[in-house]
Amino acid sequence: MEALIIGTGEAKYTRHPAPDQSTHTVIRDAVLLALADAQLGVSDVDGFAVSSFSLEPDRAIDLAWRLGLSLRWLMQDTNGGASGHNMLDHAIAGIERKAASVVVIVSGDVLSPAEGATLSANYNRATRDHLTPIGFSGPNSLFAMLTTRQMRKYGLEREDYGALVTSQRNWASKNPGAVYRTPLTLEEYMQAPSVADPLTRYDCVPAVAGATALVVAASERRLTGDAAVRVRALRQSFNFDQQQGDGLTTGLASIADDFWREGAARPQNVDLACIYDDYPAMVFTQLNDLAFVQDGNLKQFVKHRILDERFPVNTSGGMLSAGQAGPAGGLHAIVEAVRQLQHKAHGRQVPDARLAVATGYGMVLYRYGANAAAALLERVS
Amino acid sequence: MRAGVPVSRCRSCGTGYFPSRLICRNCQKADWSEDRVCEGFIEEITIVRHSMGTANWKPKIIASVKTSEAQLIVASLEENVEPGSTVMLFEQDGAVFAKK
Repeated sequence: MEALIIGTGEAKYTRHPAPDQSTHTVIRDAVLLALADAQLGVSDVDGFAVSSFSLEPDRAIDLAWRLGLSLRWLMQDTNGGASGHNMLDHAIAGIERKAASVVVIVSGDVLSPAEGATLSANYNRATRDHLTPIGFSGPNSLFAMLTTRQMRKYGLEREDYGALVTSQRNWASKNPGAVYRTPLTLEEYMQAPSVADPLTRYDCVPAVAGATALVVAASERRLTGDAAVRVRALRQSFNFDQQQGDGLTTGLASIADDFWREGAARPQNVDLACIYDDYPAMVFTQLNDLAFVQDGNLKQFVKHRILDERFPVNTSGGMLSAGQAGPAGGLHAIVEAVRQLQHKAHGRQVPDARLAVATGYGMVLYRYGANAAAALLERVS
Repeated sequence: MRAGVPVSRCRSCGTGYFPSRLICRNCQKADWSEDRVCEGFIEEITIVRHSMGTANWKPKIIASVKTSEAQLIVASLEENVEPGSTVMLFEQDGAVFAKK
Protein backbone atom coordinates (compact mmCIF):
# COMPACT_ATOMS: atom_id res chain seq x y z
CA MET A 1 0.00 0.00 0.00
CA GLU A 2 1.69 3.20 -1.15
CA ALA A 3 0.82 6.56 0.40
CA LEU A 4 0.84 9.58 -1.91
CA ILE A 5 0.22 13.28 -1.39
CA ILE A 6 -2.72 14.14 -3.60
CA GLY A 7 -4.03 17.52 -2.49
CA THR A 8 -3.08 20.81 -0.86
CA GLY A 9 -5.02 23.76 0.53
CA GLU A 10 -4.18 26.98 2.27
CA ALA A 11 -6.66 29.29 3.99
CA LYS A 12 -5.47 32.69 2.86
CA TYR A 13 -2.77 34.07 5.10
CA THR A 14 -3.54 37.54 6.49
CA ARG A 15 -1.61 39.83 8.80
CA HIS A 16 -4.83 40.93 10.46
CA PRO A 17 -7.67 38.39 10.61
CA ALA A 18 -11.26 39.35 9.89
CA PRO A 19 -13.50 39.56 12.98
CA ASP A 20 -15.26 36.31 12.08
CA GLN A 21 -12.02 34.35 11.62
CA SER A 22 -10.77 32.01 14.31
CA THR A 23 -8.28 29.17 14.49
CA HIS A 24 -11.16 26.77 13.95
CA THR A 25 -12.51 28.53 10.85
CA VAL A 26 -9.14 28.89 9.09
CA ILE A 27 -8.41 25.22 9.76
CA ARG A 28 -11.83 24.33 8.32
CA ASP A 29 -11.17 26.45 5.24
CA ALA A 30 -7.77 24.87 4.62
CA VAL A 31 -9.19 21.35 5.05
CA LEU A 32 -11.99 22.03 2.55
CA LEU A 33 -9.59 23.54 0.01
CA ALA A 34 -7.23 20.57 0.27
CA LEU A 35 -10.06 18.07 -0.10
CA ALA A 36 -11.44 19.96 -3.09
CA ASP A 37 -7.97 19.91 -4.66
CA ALA A 38 -7.92 16.12 -4.23
CA GLN A 39 -11.53 15.85 -5.47
CA LEU A 40 -12.53 14.17 -2.23
CA GLY A 41 -15.22 15.00 0.32
CA VAL A 42 -15.34 15.15 4.09
CA SER A 43 -16.96 11.70 4.16
CA ASP A 44 -13.91 10.21 2.41
CA VAL A 45 -11.59 11.19 5.26
CA ASP A 46 -10.76 8.49 7.79
CA GLY A 47 -7.56 9.97 9.23
CA PHE A 48 -6.88 13.44 10.65
CA ALA A 49 -3.83 15.18 12.10
CA VAL A 50 -3.61 18.71 13.45
CA SER A 51 -1.05 21.07 14.94
CA SER A 52 -2.02 24.45 16.37
CA PHE A 53 -1.04 26.62 19.31
CA SER A 54 -4.55 27.96 19.87
CA LEU A 55 -6.98 25.05 19.82
CA GLU A 56 -7.42 24.94 23.58
CA PRO A 57 -9.53 23.93 25.33
CA ASP A 58 -10.31 21.81 22.27
CA ARG A 59 -8.11 18.99 21.09
CA ALA A 60 -7.91 17.08 17.83
CA ILE A 61 -11.01 15.02 18.61
CA ASP A 62 -13.10 18.14 19.30
CA LEU A 63 -11.96 19.68 16.05
CA ALA A 64 -12.68 16.47 14.14
CA TRP A 65 -16.19 16.40 15.63
CA ARG A 66 -16.91 19.97 14.57
CA LEU A 67 -15.55 19.20 11.10
CA GLY A 68 -17.94 16.26 10.87
CA LEU A 69 -15.18 13.69 10.59
CA SER A 70 -15.65 10.05 11.61
CA LEU A 71 -12.19 8.58 11.83
CA ARG A 72 -10.07 5.45 12.26
CA TRP A 73 -6.82 7.37 12.76
CA LEU A 74 -6.18 10.62 14.69
CA MET A 75 -3.21 12.56 15.98
CA GLN A 76 -2.34 15.94 17.45
CA ASP A 77 1.19 17.20 17.17
CA THR A 78 3.04 19.72 19.32
CA ASN A 79 6.34 19.97 17.47
CA GLY A 80 5.96 23.52 16.18
CA GLY A 81 7.72 24.21 12.91
CA ALA A 82 8.61 20.55 12.46
CA SER A 83 5.07 19.29 13.19
CA GLY A 84 4.09 19.06 9.53
CA HIS A 85 6.87 16.57 8.85
CA ASN A 86 6.07 14.54 11.94
CA MET A 87 2.39 14.33 11.01
CA LEU A 88 3.26 13.39 7.44
CA ASP A 89 5.64 10.69 8.65
CA HIS A 90 2.95 9.18 10.89
CA ALA A 91 0.25 9.52 8.23
CA ILE A 92 2.33 7.57 5.71
CA ALA A 93 2.89 4.83 8.28
CA GLY A 94 -0.83 4.72 9.10
CA ILE A 95 -1.80 4.40 5.46
CA GLU A 96 0.86 1.81 4.68
CA ARG A 97 -0.39 -0.47 7.46
CA LYS A 98 -3.98 0.18 6.32
CA ALA A 99 -5.10 1.94 9.50
CA ALA A 100 -6.44 4.74 7.29
CA SER A 101 -6.81 5.46 3.59
CA VAL A 102 -7.33 9.23 3.38
CA VAL A 103 -5.55 11.43 5.94
CA VAL A 104 -5.92 15.21 6.12
CA ILE A 105 -3.04 17.02 7.82
CA VAL A 106 -3.62 20.60 8.87
CA SER A 107 -1.78 23.26 10.80
CA GLY A 108 -2.55 26.88 11.59
CA ASP A 109 -3.46 29.58 14.06
CA VAL A 110 -5.29 32.82 14.53
CA LEU A 111 -3.62 34.71 17.36
CA SER A 112 -4.00 38.36 18.30
CA PRO A 113 -0.74 40.25 18.99
CA ALA A 114 -1.46 39.91 22.73
CA GLU A 115 -2.11 36.18 22.40
CA GLY A 116 1.05 35.79 20.33
CA ALA A 117 3.08 37.62 22.99
CA THR A 118 1.59 35.43 25.72
CA LEU A 119 2.42 32.29 23.75
CA SER A 120 5.97 33.49 23.16
CA ALA A 121 6.49 34.38 26.83
CA ASN A 122 5.22 31.00 28.05
CA TYR A 123 6.50 28.75 25.27
CA ASN A 124 8.00 26.27 27.71
CA ARG A 125 9.28 26.24 31.28
CA ALA A 126 12.79 27.39 30.36
CA THR A 127 11.39 30.36 28.45
CA ARG A 128 8.83 31.27 31.09
CA ASP A 129 11.28 30.95 33.99
CA HIS A 130 14.56 32.21 32.52
CA LEU A 131 14.01 34.21 29.32
CA THR A 132 10.78 36.14 29.77
CA PRO A 133 11.92 37.65 33.09
CA ILE A 134 14.95 39.26 31.41
CA GLY A 135 12.82 40.85 28.67
CA PHE A 136 14.20 38.72 25.83
CA SER A 137 11.21 39.73 23.69
CA GLY A 138 10.71 36.41 21.93
CA PRO A 139 13.09 34.50 19.71
CA ASN A 140 14.30 37.57 17.78
CA SER A 141 17.02 38.22 20.36
CA LEU A 142 18.17 34.57 20.35
CA PHE A 143 18.41 34.39 16.56
CA ALA A 144 20.05 37.82 16.43
CA MET A 145 22.93 36.40 18.46
CA LEU A 146 22.92 33.21 16.37
CA THR A 147 23.15 35.35 13.23
CA THR A 148 26.12 37.22 14.70
CA ARG A 149 27.82 33.87 15.31
CA GLN A 150 27.09 32.81 11.72
CA MET A 151 28.42 36.06 10.26
CA ARG A 152 31.63 35.64 12.25
CA LYS A 153 32.09 31.95 11.44
CA TYR A 154 31.38 32.15 7.71
CA GLY A 155 32.43 35.71 6.91
CA LEU A 156 28.90 36.68 5.93
CA GLU A 157 27.70 40.26 5.71
CA ARG A 158 24.25 41.76 5.91
CA GLU A 159 24.16 41.95 2.12
CA ASP A 160 24.33 38.14 1.99
CA TYR A 161 21.19 37.82 4.09
CA GLY A 162 19.66 40.56 2.00
CA ALA A 163 20.31 38.53 -1.14
CA LEU A 164 18.21 35.69 0.26
CA VAL A 165 15.44 37.91 1.63
CA THR A 166 15.06 39.90 -1.61
CA SER A 167 15.17 36.70 -3.66
CA GLN A 168 12.37 35.23 -1.58
CA ARG A 169 10.37 38.43 -1.94
CA ASN A 170 10.82 38.19 -5.69
CA TRP A 171 9.30 34.70 -5.57
CA ALA A 172 6.52 36.00 -3.31
CA SER A 173 5.63 38.66 -5.88
CA LYS A 174 4.40 35.75 -8.04
CA ASN A 175 2.47 34.07 -5.23
CA PRO A 176 -1.01 35.54 -4.60
CA GLY A 177 -1.07 33.69 -1.27
CA ALA A 178 1.89 35.62 0.18
CA VAL A 179 1.14 38.48 2.55
CA TYR A 180 4.09 40.56 1.31
CA ARG A 181 4.34 40.63 -2.48
CA THR A 182 5.89 44.00 -3.32
CA PRO A 183 9.43 43.42 -4.59
CA LEU A 184 12.12 44.49 -2.16
CA THR A 185 15.43 46.03 -3.21
CA LEU A 186 18.70 45.34 -1.45
CA GLU A 187 18.88 49.04 -0.62
CA GLU A 188 15.48 48.88 1.10
CA TYR A 189 16.60 45.80 2.98
CA MET A 190 19.80 47.49 4.15
CA GLN A 191 17.95 50.59 5.32
CA ALA A 192 15.24 48.74 7.28
CA PRO A 193 14.90 49.57 10.96
CA SER A 194 16.68 47.34 13.42
CA VAL A 195 14.66 44.91 15.51
CA ALA A 196 17.45 43.17 17.40
CA ASP A 197 20.96 43.84 16.08
CA PRO A 198 21.91 42.64 13.46
CA LEU A 199 18.34 41.61 12.53
CA THR A 200 16.13 44.16 10.86
CA ARG A 201 12.43 44.11 10.06
CA TYR A 202 12.86 41.98 6.94
CA ASP A 203 14.88 39.31 8.76
CA CYS A 204 12.10 38.54 11.22
CA VAL A 205 9.26 36.27 10.18
CA PRO A 206 5.84 37.99 10.19
CA ALA A 207 3.13 36.25 12.18
CA VAL A 208 -0.09 35.75 10.21
CA ALA A 209 -3.52 34.23 10.65
CA GLY A 210 -4.05 31.23 8.42
CA ALA A 211 -3.86 27.49 7.98
CA THR A 212 -2.27 25.01 5.62
CA ALA A 213 -3.48 21.50 4.78
CA LEU A 214 -2.36 18.42 2.93
CA VAL A 215 -4.19 15.28 1.80
CA VAL A 216 -2.25 12.02 1.97
CA ALA A 217 -4.00 8.93 0.66
CA ALA A 218 -3.55 5.36 -0.39
CA SER A 219 -2.63 5.36 -4.06
CA GLU A 220 -5.97 3.85 -5.17
CA ARG A 221 -7.84 6.81 -3.66
CA ARG A 222 -6.24 9.12 -6.18
CA LEU A 223 -9.10 10.28 -8.38
CA THR A 224 -7.74 13.27 -10.23
CA GLY A 225 -5.56 13.33 -13.30
CA ASP A 226 -3.15 15.60 -11.45
CA ALA A 227 0.30 14.38 -10.65
CA ALA A 228 0.69 13.03 -7.13
CA VAL A 229 3.75 13.33 -4.92
CA ARG A 230 5.68 10.51 -3.32
CA VAL A 231 7.75 10.93 -0.16
CA ARG A 232 11.06 9.32 -1.12
CA ALA A 233 12.69 10.03 2.21
CA LEU A 234 11.68 11.69 5.46
CA ARG A 235 14.00 11.96 8.43
CA GLN A 236 13.74 13.89 11.68
CA SER A 237 15.99 14.84 14.57
CA PHE A 238 15.06 15.95 18.07
CA ASN A 239 17.50 17.43 20.59
CA PHE A 240 20.55 16.27 18.70
CA ASP A 241 22.94 18.55 20.60
CA GLN A 242 21.01 19.13 23.84
CA GLN A 243 21.22 22.95 23.32
CA GLN A 244 24.97 22.77 23.97
CA GLY A 245 26.15 23.92 20.54
CA ASP A 246 26.21 27.23 18.71
CA GLY A 247 22.94 26.67 16.83
CA LEU A 248 24.78 26.88 13.50
CA THR A 249 24.28 23.16 12.96
CA THR A 250 20.83 21.63 13.21
CA GLY A 251 19.88 18.00 13.64
CA LEU A 252 19.67 17.81 9.84
CA ALA A 253 23.43 17.39 9.77
CA SER A 254 23.06 14.22 11.82
CA ILE A 255 20.50 12.66 9.46
CA ALA A 256 21.73 14.03 6.11
CA ASP A 257 23.69 10.96 4.95
CA ASP A 258 20.84 8.62 5.86
CA PHE A 259 18.34 10.98 4.22
CA TRP A 260 20.13 11.08 0.86
CA ARG A 261 20.81 7.34 0.95
CA GLU A 262 17.14 6.57 1.63
CA GLY A 263 16.06 8.94 -1.14
CA ALA A 264 18.66 7.56 -3.58
CA ALA A 265 19.55 11.11 -4.56
CA ARG A 266 22.09 13.84 -4.00
CA PRO A 267 21.59 17.58 -3.48
CA GLN A 268 22.54 18.31 -7.09
CA ASN A 269 19.55 16.20 -8.26
CA VAL A 270 17.05 18.48 -6.51
CA ASP A 271 15.08 21.03 -8.54
CA LEU A 272 14.03 23.28 -5.66
CA ALA A 273 14.22 23.57 -1.90
CA CYS A 274 11.62 24.91 0.53
CA ILE A 275 13.57 25.60 3.70
CA TYR A 276 12.07 26.60 7.03
CA ASP A 277 12.86 30.29 7.28
CA ASP A 278 11.96 31.84 10.60
CA TYR A 279 15.20 33.78 10.09
CA PRO A 280 17.52 33.96 7.04
CA ALA A 281 20.40 32.49 9.05
CA MET A 282 18.42 29.29 9.53
CA VAL A 283 17.96 28.87 5.76
CA PHE A 284 21.73 28.97 5.27
CA THR A 285 22.23 26.63 8.23
CA GLN A 286 19.82 23.99 6.96
CA LEU A 287 21.07 24.15 3.37
CA ASN A 288 24.58 23.66 4.70
CA ASP A 289 23.50 20.77 6.95
CA LEU A 290 21.88 18.99 3.99
CA ALA A 291 25.06 19.38 1.90
CA PHE A 292 23.65 21.84 -0.63
CA VAL A 293 26.58 24.16 0.14
CA GLN A 294 29.85 23.02 -1.40
CA ASP A 295 32.63 22.81 1.20
CA GLY A 296 30.44 24.74 3.61
CA ASN A 297 31.29 27.97 1.81
CA LEU A 298 28.12 29.96 2.43
CA LYS A 299 29.58 33.14 0.96
CA GLN A 300 30.15 31.45 -2.39
CA PHE A 301 26.77 29.72 -2.18
CA VAL A 302 25.02 33.07 -1.85
CA LYS A 303 27.03 34.52 -4.71
CA HIS A 304 26.59 31.67 -7.16
CA ARG A 305 23.27 30.06 -6.21
CA ILE A 306 21.06 32.63 -4.45
CA LEU A 307 21.91 35.99 -6.02
CA ASP A 308 21.01 34.92 -9.55
CA GLU A 309 18.29 32.50 -8.38
CA ARG A 310 20.03 29.62 -10.13
CA PHE A 311 18.82 27.39 -7.31
CA PRO A 312 15.16 28.05 -6.41
CA VAL A 313 14.82 28.44 -2.64
CA ASN A 314 11.47 29.15 -0.97
CA THR A 315 9.47 29.75 -4.11
CA SER A 316 6.32 30.67 -2.18
CA GLY A 317 8.28 33.58 -0.74
CA GLY A 318 8.88 31.44 2.31
CA MET A 319 7.54 32.44 5.66
CA LEU A 320 9.57 35.65 5.53
CA SER A 321 7.28 36.92 2.77
CA ALA A 322 4.27 34.55 2.82
CA GLY A 323 3.92 34.62 6.63
CA GLN A 324 4.09 32.27 9.58
CA ALA A 325 0.75 30.80 10.66
CA GLY A 326 1.68 29.41 14.07
CA PRO A 327 3.29 25.98 13.69
CA ALA A 328 2.37 25.72 9.98
CA GLY A 329 5.81 26.68 8.63
CA GLY A 330 7.08 23.18 7.95
CA LEU A 331 3.78 22.15 6.41
CA HIS A 332 3.78 25.33 4.30
CA ALA A 333 7.18 24.28 2.94
CA ILE A 334 5.84 20.82 2.08
CA VAL A 335 2.73 22.28 0.42
CA GLU A 336 4.76 24.65 -1.75
CA ALA A 337 7.07 21.82 -2.79
CA VAL A 338 4.04 19.63 -3.64
CA ARG A 339 2.48 22.40 -5.72
CA GLN A 340 5.73 22.83 -7.63
CA LEU A 341 5.99 19.09 -8.24
CA GLN A 342 2.36 18.94 -9.36
CA HIS A 343 3.19 21.83 -11.72
CA LYS A 344 0.46 23.90 -10.09
CA ALA A 345 2.66 26.80 -8.99
CA HIS A 346 1.47 28.95 -11.89
CA GLY A 347 3.47 32.20 -12.25
CA ARG A 348 6.31 30.92 -10.09
CA GLN A 349 6.54 27.41 -11.51
CA VAL A 350 10.03 25.92 -11.58
CA PRO A 351 10.25 24.36 -15.07
CA ASP A 352 9.81 20.58 -15.09
CA ALA A 353 10.23 20.27 -11.32
CA ARG A 354 10.48 16.59 -10.39
CA LEU A 355 12.36 16.44 -7.09
CA ALA A 356 12.16 18.82 -4.13
CA VAL A 357 13.34 19.10 -0.54
CA ALA A 358 11.14 20.60 2.19
CA THR A 359 12.37 21.16 5.72
CA GLY A 360 10.88 21.94 9.10
CA TYR A 361 12.62 23.39 12.15
CA GLY A 362 11.46 24.64 15.48
CA MET A 363 10.76 24.32 19.17
CA VAL A 364 13.15 26.89 20.56
CA LEU A 365 13.80 25.31 23.94
CA TYR A 366 16.23 27.86 25.31
CA ARG A 367 18.85 29.09 22.82
CA TYR A 368 17.68 27.79 19.41
CA GLY A 369 15.43 25.19 17.81
CA ALA A 370 15.61 21.57 18.95
CA ASN A 371 13.63 19.91 16.15
CA ALA A 372 14.63 19.55 12.52
CA ALA A 373 13.14 17.51 9.70
CA ALA A 374 13.54 17.04 5.98
CA ALA A 375 11.40 15.43 3.29
CA LEU A 376 12.51 14.48 -0.20
CA LEU A 377 9.48 14.71 -2.45
CA GLU A 378 9.11 13.28 -5.96
CA ARG A 379 6.58 13.94 -8.72
CA VAL A 380 4.55 10.88 -9.69
CA SER A 381 2.90 11.41 -13.07
CA MET B 1 19.32 39.60 43.68
CA ARG B 2 21.79 36.80 44.55
CA ALA B 3 25.29 36.38 43.26
CA GLY B 4 25.75 33.57 40.76
CA VAL B 5 23.57 31.42 38.53
CA PRO B 6 21.87 28.41 40.12
CA VAL B 7 23.08 25.18 38.55
CA SER B 8 21.96 21.65 39.20
CA ARG B 9 25.08 19.65 39.94
CA CYS B 10 25.15 15.92 39.43
CA ARG B 11 26.32 14.32 42.67
CA SER B 12 27.78 11.42 40.70
CA CYS B 13 29.99 13.13 38.10
CA GLY B 14 29.91 16.81 39.06
CA THR B 15 28.45 18.11 35.79
CA GLY B 16 26.47 21.32 36.30
CA TYR B 17 23.40 22.26 34.26
CA PHE B 18 21.40 25.41 33.62
CA PRO B 19 18.45 25.13 33.18
CA SER B 20 18.16 22.08 35.41
CA ARG B 21 17.77 18.59 33.88
CA LEU B 22 16.11 15.42 35.15
CA ILE B 23 18.82 12.93 34.19
CA CYS B 24 22.52 13.71 33.85
CA ARG B 25 23.48 13.53 30.19
CA ASN B 26 27.06 12.68 31.16
CA CYS B 27 26.56 9.76 33.56
CA GLN B 28 22.80 9.01 33.35
CA LYS B 29 22.30 9.43 37.10
CA ALA B 30 19.49 11.47 38.69
CA ASP B 31 20.92 12.63 42.00
CA TRP B 32 21.34 16.40 42.23
CA SER B 33 22.65 19.11 44.49
CA GLU B 34 22.25 22.86 44.09
CA ASP B 35 25.26 25.03 43.36
CA ARG B 36 26.03 28.42 41.88
CA VAL B 37 28.37 29.66 39.14
CA CYS B 38 29.39 33.28 39.47
CA GLU B 39 31.56 34.18 36.49
CA GLY B 40 31.36 34.01 32.71
CA PHE B 41 32.35 35.82 29.55
CA ILE B 42 30.25 37.46 26.90
CA GLU B 43 30.09 35.57 23.61
CA GLU B 44 27.58 37.73 21.73
CA ILE B 45 25.22 40.54 22.52
CA THR B 46 22.18 42.03 20.84
CA ILE B 47 20.25 45.18 21.54
CA VAL B 48 16.53 44.50 21.28
CA ARG B 49 15.14 47.72 19.86
CA HIS B 50 11.60 46.66 19.05
CA SER B 51 9.15 44.25 20.62
CA MET B 52 6.00 43.31 18.73
CA GLY B 53 2.86 44.59 20.38
CA THR B 54 4.75 46.46 23.11
CA ALA B 55 4.30 50.23 23.23
CA ASN B 56 7.03 52.43 24.70
CA TRP B 57 9.58 49.61 24.53
CA LYS B 58 12.95 50.58 25.93
CA PRO B 59 15.95 48.93 24.26
CA LYS B 60 17.33 45.97 26.20
CA ILE B 61 20.74 44.36 25.94
CA ILE B 62 20.65 40.58 25.86
CA ALA B 63 23.83 38.50 25.94
CA SER B 64 24.91 34.95 25.33
CA VAL B 65 27.25 34.10 28.18
CA LYS B 66 29.57 31.15 28.59
CA THR B 67 30.13 30.54 32.27
CA SER B 68 33.44 29.58 33.82
CA GLU B 69 32.08 25.99 33.75
CA ALA B 70 31.01 26.31 30.08
CA GLN B 71 27.25 26.43 30.65
CA LEU B 72 25.67 28.54 27.89
CA ILE B 73 23.31 31.08 29.38
CA VAL B 74 21.13 33.89 28.07
CA ALA B 75 21.42 36.92 30.34
CA SER B 76 20.34 40.51 30.59
CA LEU B 77 23.20 43.00 30.47
CA GLU B 78 22.77 46.12 32.55
CA GLU B 79 25.21 48.06 30.38
CA ASN B 80 26.83 47.53 27.01
CA VAL B 81 29.84 45.24 27.46
CA GLU B 82 32.10 44.17 24.64
CA PRO B 83 31.95 40.50 23.58
CA GLY B 84 34.88 38.64 25.13
CA SER B 85 34.60 40.56 28.40
CA THR B 86 34.46 38.73 31.70
CA VAL B 87 31.28 39.39 33.67
CA MET B 88 29.84 38.54 37.04
CA LEU B 89 26.52 36.73 37.07
CA PHE B 90 23.50 37.37 39.27
CA GLU B 91 20.08 35.81 39.52
CA GLN B 92 16.69 36.88 40.72
CA ASP B 93 13.66 34.57 40.51
CA GLY B 94 15.22 32.61 37.65
CA ALA B 95 16.27 35.65 35.61
CA VAL B 96 20.02 35.91 34.99
CA PHE B 97 21.79 39.25 34.90
CA ALA B 98 25.40 39.99 33.98
CA LYS B 99 27.63 42.97 34.69
CA LYS B 100 31.34 43.78 34.72
